[in-house]
Parts: sequence; C-alpha cells; structure tokens
Amino acid sequence: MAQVTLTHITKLFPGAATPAVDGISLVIPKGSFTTLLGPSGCGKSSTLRIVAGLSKPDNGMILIDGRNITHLSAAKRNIGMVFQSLALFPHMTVAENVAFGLKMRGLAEAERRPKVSRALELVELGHLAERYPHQLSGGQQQRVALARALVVEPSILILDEPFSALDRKLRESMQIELYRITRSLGITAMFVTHDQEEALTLSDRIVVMNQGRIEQDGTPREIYGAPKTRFVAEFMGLSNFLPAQSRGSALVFEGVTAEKTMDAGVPQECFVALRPEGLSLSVAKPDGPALNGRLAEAIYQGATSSYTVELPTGRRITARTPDCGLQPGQDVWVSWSPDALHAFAA
Amino acid sequence: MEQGMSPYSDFFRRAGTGLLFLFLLAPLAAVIVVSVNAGTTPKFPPEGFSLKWYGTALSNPAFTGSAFNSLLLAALATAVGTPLGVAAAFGIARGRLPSAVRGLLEAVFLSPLIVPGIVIGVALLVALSSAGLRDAWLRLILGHVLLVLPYVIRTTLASLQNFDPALEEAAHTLGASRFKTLTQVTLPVLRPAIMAGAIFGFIISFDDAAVSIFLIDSSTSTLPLAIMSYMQYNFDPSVAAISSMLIGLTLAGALAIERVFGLKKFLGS
Ligand SMILES: Nc1ncnc2c1ncn2[C@@H]1O[C@H](COP(=O)(O)OP(=O)(O)O)[C@@H](O)[C@H]1O
Ligand SMILES: [Mg+2]
Repeated sequence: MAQVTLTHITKLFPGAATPAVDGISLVIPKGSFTTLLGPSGCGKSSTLRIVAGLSKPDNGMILIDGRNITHLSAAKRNIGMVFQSLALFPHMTVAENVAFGLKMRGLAEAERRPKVSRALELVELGHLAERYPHQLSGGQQQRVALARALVVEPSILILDEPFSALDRKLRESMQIELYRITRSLGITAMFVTHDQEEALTLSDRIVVMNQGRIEQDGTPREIYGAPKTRFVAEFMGLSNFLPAQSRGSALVFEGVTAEKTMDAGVPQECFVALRPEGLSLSVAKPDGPALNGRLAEAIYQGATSSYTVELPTGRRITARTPDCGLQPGQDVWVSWSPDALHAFAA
Repeated sequence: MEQGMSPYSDFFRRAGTGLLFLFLLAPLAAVIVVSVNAGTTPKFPPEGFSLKWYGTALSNPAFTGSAFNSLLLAALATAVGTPLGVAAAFGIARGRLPSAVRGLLEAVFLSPLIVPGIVIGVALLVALSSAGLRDAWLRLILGHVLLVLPYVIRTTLASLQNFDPALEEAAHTLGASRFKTLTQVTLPVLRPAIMAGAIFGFIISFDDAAVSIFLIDSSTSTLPLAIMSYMQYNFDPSVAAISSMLIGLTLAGALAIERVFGLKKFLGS
C-alpha cells in the first residue's frame, strides 16, 4: 500500500483547444479509497491513465511513496488497473488471466498457484478457475478483472468506471463487494465514476472534477452536505437555485431573510440552493423564514411526493416530502431545515 | 407474423435459395459421380461403380509429381506470406498514417483479390524475366506469396480493427514488456483470424492455374496445370477422380476455417 502524489499534472491532446487535465495536484493517502467524480469528458480517465503510465503528462510529476515515477513505464509501476471494458484476455482461462501478472514478474508455477487460488477465493470465484471469460456472467467477469489486478499486490488499485456496463442491481452488489475487499485489504485505491451515488457509497474521499480541474475535494459528507460551488451542488443533485445577496451572516432571496453561517468565499451577489428533501410545505405561515407561493404541481411518487411551487417572481422550486394532501392551485408556505440551505458564488 | 411476409413469398424465397444451391453444387456432385464411373469415358449416368480411376490418377506420375509440387508450393507460399501479411496488416492498422495513405495501402495490398490472375501472371512474367529471374520455383513462390498475402491481410486487418486496445494496456500494467504483450496477448488473440487467412491462402495457392501458367517451366508443373494439359489429349474419368480429391481438400479447408474462425465472419468483408 502506498501514498500517491500528483503535482500539477497537465495533459493537452494534440489538436485539442483546452487541456484534458489542467494542473491537477492531489495527495492520496496510504490506504484511502479516493474517487474522481465528474461528468463525461472532464478528464478523469486521462488523469488515471497518467497515474498508470499509459499516457505521458505534458507537465507535472507522479510520486509513489515519495519516489518520482513520472518517466517509469506502465510495466514497471506495480499498479493494478481495472478497465472499463475489463480487458480480460479471451484466450486464457480465469486462472491464467489471474496468473498473468505473476508470470510477467517471473514467478514459477508453484509460487503462482497458491496466490492465484487465494485471489480467486477473495472474489468468490475459486470454482470457475478453468472457465474462459466468455463463459462467465458480467458480474463474474468483473471479479476476474479485480482478482487479476489485486493478485500482484499492487501499490495502488486503479478502477476506471468498472461498473458502468452493469444493470443497477448488479452494480449495487458489486459496489458492496468492492467496498468489502478494498477495506479488508487496506488497499490504496483510485476510482473513477460519473455516478454521484456510486462515489458516495464507495469513497473515503471524493475529488469532483470539471474541465480538467478540481472543483472540490473532501469526504462524501463534505461534498454532499457542503458543496462549495454551484457545479458541485448541481452534480450532487442539488436544485432550486435562486439569486441572493449575502449580508454578514444572513442571506436575502425572494424578499426573505435567512440566518446562515457562510464560507468567507461567498460574495455579496450570490446564489442559494434549497435541497428538495429538506423542504416542508404548509398552508399556515410557519415561524421563521419561509417562501410564499402557489402550488403548481403535485406528483405522488410513493415514499415521497414531488411538489412544485411557483413563487411571486415566477421562479419555481421543488420540494420532495412525504405526501401531505395539498392540491395544485393552493396558496402554500415553503420552509427549510437549516442544512438544506446552501450559498455559492454565482 | 411480420408484415409483407406472406407464406407465398416465403415459399419463393426458399425455392430460390434451393435452386441457387443446386446450381452451385450440382456440377460438383456430377464430377464426383463421374469419378466413380466404371466405364472408360466420363459419362452421366455412370456405367456402374468403381474406384479404378482413382487408382489410375494416383499412379500417373504427371499427377502425383505435380500434386506434390502444388502442396509444397502452397505450403511455402503460406509460410512466407502469412508473417508478411500479418506484418502488413499491423502496418496498415497501427501505423501513424494519414487516412488517405492508409486507404491506398490497403487497396494496393488487397488488389490481388480483384486483379485477374492472368494479368498478375503476365505482369510477373515480364517483371521477373527482365529482372533475370528464371528459376521456376523461385518465380512460383514469389507469385503465390502474392496470392496468399491479401487473404491473410484481410482477416488480420478485420480482427485488428475489432481489437480492444485495453487488452494490451492491461498486459502492460500487469508487467508485460512490449514483446511479451505481442507474443502472449496480441498474436494469440489474433490467431484464429491469422489461421483462417492462412488456410484460405493455402487453398487459393493450391487451386491456382491462371498465375502459375506463366511461371512454370517444362520440368516443373502444378496440379491444376497438369490436369488441364492432360485433358487436352485424354478424356477419361481419372481427371474427375483428381477433381473429386481437390473438392475434398477444399471442403476440409473450409471446415477448418469454420472451426477456427466462423466462415460467415470470414466471407462477410
Ligand atoms: N487519446 C485522446 N486523444 C485526443 N483527445 C482525447 C483522448 N483521450 C481523451 N481525449 C479528450 O480529453 C478529454 C477528457 O477525456 P477523458 O479523460 O476520457 O474524460 P472522462 O474520463 O472524464 O470522461 C475529452 O475532451 C476527450 O475528448
Ligand atoms: Mg472515462
């Protein structure tokens, strides 16, 4: 297990107008599960491939435990990688796939065998060792790819959207399994996904990327609970953005003043967001700050209902609460729990 | 039932397919029937069953000698042409070439598939003679390598175009050098395609008459040419017997391709 350091990593593909990776600096502590999260095309794969040695950065350095490996070939980095396409060798059995890295390291058959069976047991595939990849289900293939990457005891494990091709149910069970395996081995892992739920489930730390840069870096709680930019907030599923002014420790929006302790970085002209799950509706004016409007839409969705309220300014906000029997057209008040209110620079 | 698929049109489609197969296969069946004819002339229907013409054919030194030549020639041409074809396919698929150059190279390398054999034969004869190359074997091997190449290039190229680059990257991250990656991952993954191209090339070389006729000399001939020259002066079922054996060999090759590669994938360009 090792610490990985990226310093000012930059990558500009020939012919591209803007860099795919734009000066990324990041320290991944020993044993941490760190996820790069961001929309498609924001440079996650490019960053991973530079760490793995599959692509050369134009600028910057990669250190593993303080050792500069920027110019080391991929074959010599001792990094385990799980690819989006899995890239299982089709002409080799499961056991041969897993043994490949050990063979390349010059281990004799007798030394390889116990390691291969232990790796296959770790992913619960011991009984399928002699099958070929095309004889396995999608989930089983995932596990082979994971065992093949782990068996060489890599200093870091790198996974590039490994679950994106799986259906929801299988994806969730693979996430739990990956969580169990990485935590039981205490391995340093770099994971890439564009799915915020997956990132929240798996990670010790989430690095949100946008256009080759880091937008925010923190624990899942920090990223979800206190997004620092509108981009992060939107990516984490926040909505109900309203223009606002910050005045000391208060926010003014839609003619309402709300107390809020804010980051120093929030300028006077700013935006607020109200998390739909943190809102409540009432017919009577509640104590404390609340927005008044007309209920435009009520959609029953089982556990919760989705209510859209039109404010006097014409802006709309959506609340997701347990069904409260309100009808469209009614005059309602929207209030919020303190942690449902967020403020950002525009 | 699908719209527009009346039972009538389905019937006509099946009947059409059946007629087409009949048209393609009936002559082959006739050759085989004639080859087991007990009479002295190739006649249909045959005058009784006998394998004697197989005996006659196999004891004719003009056939056995040229059959040996054809086998050796096809084997040598395939042995030389296959690695060359694989290398050419890698160059076309992976070389950092402008797409126009890539297309041109592909067209040039595959052109023996389109250019008539006679044209290739005449061109080779003129070129090799003016280069002072008069040895029949050397000329035949060169000419037949040209016949084998496009088949190997075509199958290898098709397989390379579907090749997942992550396979090689995975091998690298697992510690494989470029050479190990090539020998342990890339070539084994391409192997069925290369084999299919090589088998097809072998059959084409073995069956060829149009190119060979310009390259042989009086002491070196190939089986298809021996059959043709025999038929100019003789008319007996031993030619049918030889042809039947050729049909058998070709069929075996096609089955081998089907086994390693899938014939549909091979024929569908
Ligand atoms: N090999 C390449 N050549 C040129 N451009 C590339 C290459 N790989 C990625 N890019 C570009 O770099 C940007 C980032 O891509 P990528 O790192 O794959 O994003 P992500 O993995 O976050 O979806 C994209 O605009 C993409 O088009
Ligand atoms: Mg990607």
